[in-house]
Amino acid sequence: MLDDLILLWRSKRGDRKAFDVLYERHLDRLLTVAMHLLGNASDAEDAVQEVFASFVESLDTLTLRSSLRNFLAVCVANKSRDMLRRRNRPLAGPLGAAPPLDVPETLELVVHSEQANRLAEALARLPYEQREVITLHIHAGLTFRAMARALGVSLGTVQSRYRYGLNNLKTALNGEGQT
Amino acid sequence: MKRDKKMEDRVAEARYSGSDSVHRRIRSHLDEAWQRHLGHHGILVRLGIGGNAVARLSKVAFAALLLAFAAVWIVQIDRTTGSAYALQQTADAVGKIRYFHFQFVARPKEPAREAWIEYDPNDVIRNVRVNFYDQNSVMVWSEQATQYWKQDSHEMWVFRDDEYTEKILYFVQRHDPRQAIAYLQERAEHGGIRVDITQPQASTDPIIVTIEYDPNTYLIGKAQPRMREFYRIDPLTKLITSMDVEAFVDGRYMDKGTWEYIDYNRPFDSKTFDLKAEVPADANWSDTTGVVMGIEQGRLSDEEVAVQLVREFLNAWVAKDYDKAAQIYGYAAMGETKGLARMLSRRNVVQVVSIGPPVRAEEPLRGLFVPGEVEFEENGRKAAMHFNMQVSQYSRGYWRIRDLGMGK
Repeated sequence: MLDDLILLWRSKRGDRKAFDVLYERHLDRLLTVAMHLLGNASDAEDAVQEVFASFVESLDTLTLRSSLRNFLAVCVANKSRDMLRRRNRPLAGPLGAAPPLDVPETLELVVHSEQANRLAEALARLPYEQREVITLHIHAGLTFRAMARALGVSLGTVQSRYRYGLNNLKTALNGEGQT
Repeated sequence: MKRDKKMEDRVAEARYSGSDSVHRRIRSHLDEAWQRHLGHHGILVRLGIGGNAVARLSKVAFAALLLAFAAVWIVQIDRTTGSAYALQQTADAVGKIRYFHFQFVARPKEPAREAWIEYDPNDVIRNVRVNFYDQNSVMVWSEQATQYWKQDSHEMWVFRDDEYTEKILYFVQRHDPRQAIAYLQERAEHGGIRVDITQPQASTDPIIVTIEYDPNTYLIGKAQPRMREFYRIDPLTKLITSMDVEAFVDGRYMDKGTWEYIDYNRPFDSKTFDLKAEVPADANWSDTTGVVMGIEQGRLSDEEVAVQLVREFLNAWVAKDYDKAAQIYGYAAMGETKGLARMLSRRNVVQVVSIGPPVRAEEPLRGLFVPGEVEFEENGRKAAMHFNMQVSQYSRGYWRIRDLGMGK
């Protein structure tokens, strides 16, 4: 398996095959991040598509400050925020205030189970900031420190959003998952 | 912060996957963006920014990328050891180190290679030096050029070559602790390697991180058996002190050697990365940093430039302009170019019979293969000679021949 570093290097030099490997490698992870943040399959697809397109067009001048995986995930998070703001959707609302998940069959949960569905729905109802850090940490692999840098907030803020987010998830799932 | 692993695992299960139609739609959109990306190359060429300048630009960008890899050392927390040692601790420990000095000790105990890596204050890799004791040669890489001193042949090469840069960066990535830890984490995530951490009872004993590689996954593009690495981590500093390599051969693991990490953050002498002071005055110098090798792609497709490259090379050969043919071939060093010109002059190629069509090489090989046939004359008799030349892009927008593929 070629690693991202070398594939990106080749992509910069015009190697489409190398870029396609990168694309395939990151696509579903980014769709997952976008889906959890936007709660709508069509929006998630748009967000990921725009991030990839910007990524391609900036290949020549791209200066990364993180691994490619994290860079793309943060781009999707930023894009999702922009889209929600443009559409006047609440970034953070009280638990239960978010619209129900819109998941047409073009974007499907990898694990099809009642539990996974309930979890996804509960996650979608979290305040945006909480599901953002949960999604970026668990699905994109960002550390808390990296999230703090990317989101422009303190490490403590990220950690508390994460902790409250998981607690809220437990509450929403009627205590399931409590240790 | 106290972790809730059970809840985290449940969240991790809520992953989405795009259907084929989603993939198709996004890919189709990307095709347009990709054409604009390629178009940008064309603009650079049309503006008269030469290949070397373009190569420099991309190197700068790539150096920035590397810097990014090192600067924000984002590695997933290793959960296998709970609150005990995790690879992240080593990543943090090496994150601010600018000078790395290490060596590879082959069996029997002799240093085969020694390396020095320097980062600049912005965390960009500035210089890399490798002494190949087993080959009597020294290589110094920087963004501007690569210096290569071959003691046995008394030759000093200075050149710029993106593919060579790629190899150096790969070497750095595998063995420079700043890069290696994140590399291993990424590999672990994609499968093919297994990570095991053993923390000893005694607090002064080294922590052992064992990495197991499936066959043919140890180094890119090389067929290899199952491999194993043992990283020894200093329990106090969390720095890597050494790394043993073993290969699974004939039913058991065989010792291949040890990487020993000698110094951390001890600034190097300023002459470490300048071979001029070390190379004898009467060495044969070859500096090709200002010479265009191969041919420029321009607006040609990969397939078209591949055929054009082979055609120009063969036409020069038939015209007995061996120096031109060797230059089109595109060796990185002038000494090799002269050697190739001499070799070409020994074969009297009189006619190009056919060229192409080209076939794209399969990974890990790169570029395209261009088959064909030439006619040569020997002792007054003509004969056919088939070839299958491998050609590839060596610097953005420039292509060269990698292998003549004759007589195979």
